[in-house]
Amino acid sequence: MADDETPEEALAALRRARRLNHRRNIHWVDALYNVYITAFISIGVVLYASTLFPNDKLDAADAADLANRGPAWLGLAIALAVGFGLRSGARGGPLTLEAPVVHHELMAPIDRGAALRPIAFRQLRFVAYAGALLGGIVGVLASHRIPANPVLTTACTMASFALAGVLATGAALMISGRRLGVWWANFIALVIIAWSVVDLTLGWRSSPLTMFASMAFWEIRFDPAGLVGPVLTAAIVVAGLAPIGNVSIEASRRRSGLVSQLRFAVTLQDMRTVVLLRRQLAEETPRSRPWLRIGGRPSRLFPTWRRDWQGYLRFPLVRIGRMVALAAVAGVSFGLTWRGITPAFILAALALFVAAYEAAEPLAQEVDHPSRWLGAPEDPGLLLLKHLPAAFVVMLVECLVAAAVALLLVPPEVVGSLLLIELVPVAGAAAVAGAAGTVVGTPGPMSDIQGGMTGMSGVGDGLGGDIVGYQSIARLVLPPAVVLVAVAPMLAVGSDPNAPDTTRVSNLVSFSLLVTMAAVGYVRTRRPSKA
Amino acid sequence: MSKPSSRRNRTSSGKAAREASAKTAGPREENTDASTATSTSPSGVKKSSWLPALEDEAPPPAAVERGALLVTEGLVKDYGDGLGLRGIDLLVDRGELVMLVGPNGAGKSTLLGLAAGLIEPTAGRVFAGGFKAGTIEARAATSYIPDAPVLYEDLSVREHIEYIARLHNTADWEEYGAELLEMFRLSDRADDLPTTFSRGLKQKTALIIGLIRPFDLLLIDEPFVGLDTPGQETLVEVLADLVDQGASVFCSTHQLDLLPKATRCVGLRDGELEYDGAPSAEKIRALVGG
Repeated sequence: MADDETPEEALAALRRARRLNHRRNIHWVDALYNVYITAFISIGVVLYASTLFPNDKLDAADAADLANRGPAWLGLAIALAVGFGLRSGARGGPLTLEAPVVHHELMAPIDRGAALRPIAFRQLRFVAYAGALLGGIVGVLASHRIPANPVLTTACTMASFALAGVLATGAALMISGRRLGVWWANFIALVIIAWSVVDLTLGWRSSPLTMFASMAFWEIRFDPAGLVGPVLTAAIVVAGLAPIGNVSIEASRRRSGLVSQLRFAVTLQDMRTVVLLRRQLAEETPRSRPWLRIGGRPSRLFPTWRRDWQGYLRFPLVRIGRMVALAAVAGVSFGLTWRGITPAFILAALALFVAAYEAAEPLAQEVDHPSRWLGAPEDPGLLLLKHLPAAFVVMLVECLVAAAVALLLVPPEVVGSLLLIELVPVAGAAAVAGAAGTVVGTPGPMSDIQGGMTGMSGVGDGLGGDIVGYQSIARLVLPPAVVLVAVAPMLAVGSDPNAPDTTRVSNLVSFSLLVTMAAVGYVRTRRPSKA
Repeated sequence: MSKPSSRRNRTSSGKAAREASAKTAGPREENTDASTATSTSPSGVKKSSWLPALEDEAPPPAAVERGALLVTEGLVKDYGDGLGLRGIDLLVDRGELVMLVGPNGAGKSTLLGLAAGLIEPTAGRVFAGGFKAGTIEARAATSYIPDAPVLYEDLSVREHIEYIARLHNTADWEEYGAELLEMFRLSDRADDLPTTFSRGLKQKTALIIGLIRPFDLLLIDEPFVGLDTPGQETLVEVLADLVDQGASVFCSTHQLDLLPKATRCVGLRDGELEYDGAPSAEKIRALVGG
C-alpha cells in the first residue's frame, strides 16, 4: 500500500481486486450454463412475444395511427416503471448493497457519495443494457410489421427502452438520496401515472413521458418532443446521483439483509418465503385496525371461516390494490384472448393464480406456524380445506372484477354467458391452486433447512437428484396449471358475439373440475414437516 | 498470552477523526455527509426553519470539556411497532470500560446501533468521539462490532484485515494484524474464507477486523457469544488494554469475566435507563434476570 493512498483510492483498488477475484472464481462450465439458460429463456420470450403482434404488415395509414396513439400507451408504461422506481426509492432502493459493504465501507471515514456512486453507475449501466435488450426484441418484432427501416426502428426502440430503465432507476436514486417518504413517493407516482392516463384517454401529448415515448416511434414519424427523453433522463440521473451519499444506512442495512434472504429463497424456489420477504421489504404489514370489525357472537361451528375474514379485513390497502390490479390484468388478457391473441389466456391464468396466492394468506398462516397447525384437534389436511371456502369467495369477487374489465374488449353477451358457466369453476380452481401453491413446500434436499420457515415437508425427501429435478419443475408448474386448465375452456367460446358456443365450454369445464378436485385431494394430504 | 508490542497507540486519540475532518477540508459543518452538508451556512447561521440548527451538530459544551466519547441526550428510537429506546441520557468518558446489560429487548443493540450511526434516532441526539453519530468524523473515531459477524464472502481473513485497515488509512497494519491473528489463534486460518468457519471463528474474525483500525470508542455487541474460553480471556485482556491506552469501550454483555476490568455498568430495561453505576455481579444478575 502506498503511504499516500487515500481511503477512497484504497476502496477503489480493493473493489477492483474483488471483481477480479470474482471473475477468476467463475468456472467456465457455470458460465456456459448461464449463457445456455439465458438464451433458452430469451428465445422462449421472443417466440411468445412474436405471437402477440398481428401478422399483417401495417399500411401507411395504420402506421401513422400507431405513431399517433402508441406514445400514450408507451408513456403510460414508462410512467408505471417510474412509479415502481419511486416506491422502491422510498424504501431504500434501488441499490442493494451487500451487508459487509454497509457495515465496513459505508461506516468507514470515506465520503459515502464516493463509495456509492460507482455502485449506482453499475446499476444504471445494467438497467440501460437490459432496457436496450428488451427494446431490441420489441424493435425487431415490430420492424417486420411496420413500413419503415428495420435498423432504425430497432435503434429507436432500443434507445427509448434503455433510457426509460435509466429514468426509473434515477428516480429511485433521487427519492432515496433525498429521503422522501413513501407517501411522497406514492403521491408523485400517482400524479405521473394519472397524467399519462389523461393523455391516453384524451389523445393528448401533454405529459413529458408521453413526449419521451414518441422517441420510440421516430422512424415512423419524427417528433422533436421525443428529445424530452434524453434530457429528462439526464436531469433525473444527475439529481439522483448528487445526494446519493445521504441514503439511509438503516434502510440499506435492512434491505441488504432481506434481499440476500430473498435471493436464497428464490434459489430454493420457496415461493412462500419469497412472498413473506418481499412483504417485509415493502414494509407491507397487516392493518392494526381492521377495515371492519366482525360483530356478533363467535360461532363454534365455523371458527376457520370467521378467522379467515378477520385476516382479510386486515389486508393493507396496497395488497387489496394489487389484487384488484391482478383481476384487471386477467380481464384485459381475457379480452385480448377473445380478440385473437390466444396466448394472452396464459397471462390471465397467471394473474388469477397470483391473486389466489394472496387469497390463501389465512391458510398460509397455518403453514407458517407448524406447531400451532399440528396442535389443532383435527386432521391437518382437513384444517387446510376449511380455509378454502373464504378464499373461494374472495376469488369469486376477483373473477367478477376481471369480467367487468373484460367488458371493455368483449361484448356483454359473451361475458355474460361465460360468467354463468365459468365463474364458479374458475374461482374454485384459483382458490385451490393458491392453496396448493402455498402448501407445496420446498425442494427435498433443502426442506430441512427451510422447514422452519415454511413449516412444510419437502416433496422430494429421500428421492434421487433426477426425480427431485422433475419434482422441482412440477412444484413450480402444477399449481398455476390448475388455473390454466380452468380458464382454457373459454377458448372454445368462438368469435361470434351473437352465438357463443356455450355447449362446448360447458363440456370442457367438467374436465377442469376433475383437475381441481385432484388439487383439493393434494391439499388434503399435506402435513406439517414436524408431524 | 504475550502482549502485542504494536498495540500501543492503536487508539486514534482523535487523530483519525481530525484527519478525516481535515481531508474533507473546510469548516466542520461542511465535513459531514450530504444529510448535514447543507444544513448550515459557513457562518453557522441557520438557513431555514426546517434545517437542523448548528447546535444539533455539536455535543454539549460540558461533554466537550470532559472529553466525553459517547454522549446521548433524550435519545428515542421508535420502530413503528414499538419503542426501542425511551429517552436515554448518557455520557461515557475517555478511558471507561462500560458494561451494557439488560434483558432481551431492553434496547442494548439499538443503543449501540444509534451510537455507531447505523440506526437513526427518532428524537434526541447522539455524539460519538465528539461528533454527531454517523458523520465522517464520528465514523473515523468509532469502531462498531455487531453481535452477528458481518463478513465478505469472497475475502480471506487476511484480506479482510488488509481491506479494513486500508479503508481506515491504518499504518503498520500488517504487524498488528499478525499479532491479533496470533492472539486469537487464527494465524493458521488466515488465508481461509470465513464463510467456511464456525460461529466462534467468525466471531474472532469480526473482532480482529474491528480492532485492526484506529478508534477512540469501541462499540461492541455481545462479543463473547460463540467464543471459546481462551478467546474470551484474550478479548477481556484486549479490551482492558485498550482502556489503559485511553480508548473507551461500550460493551453489551452479561459475561461476568469482564466484570473485574469494567469501570461502570449501564442497565437498560424496556428502552429506559434502569441503572448507571458501579459494576457488580448482583446488580447485573438483577438487571438481566429480574
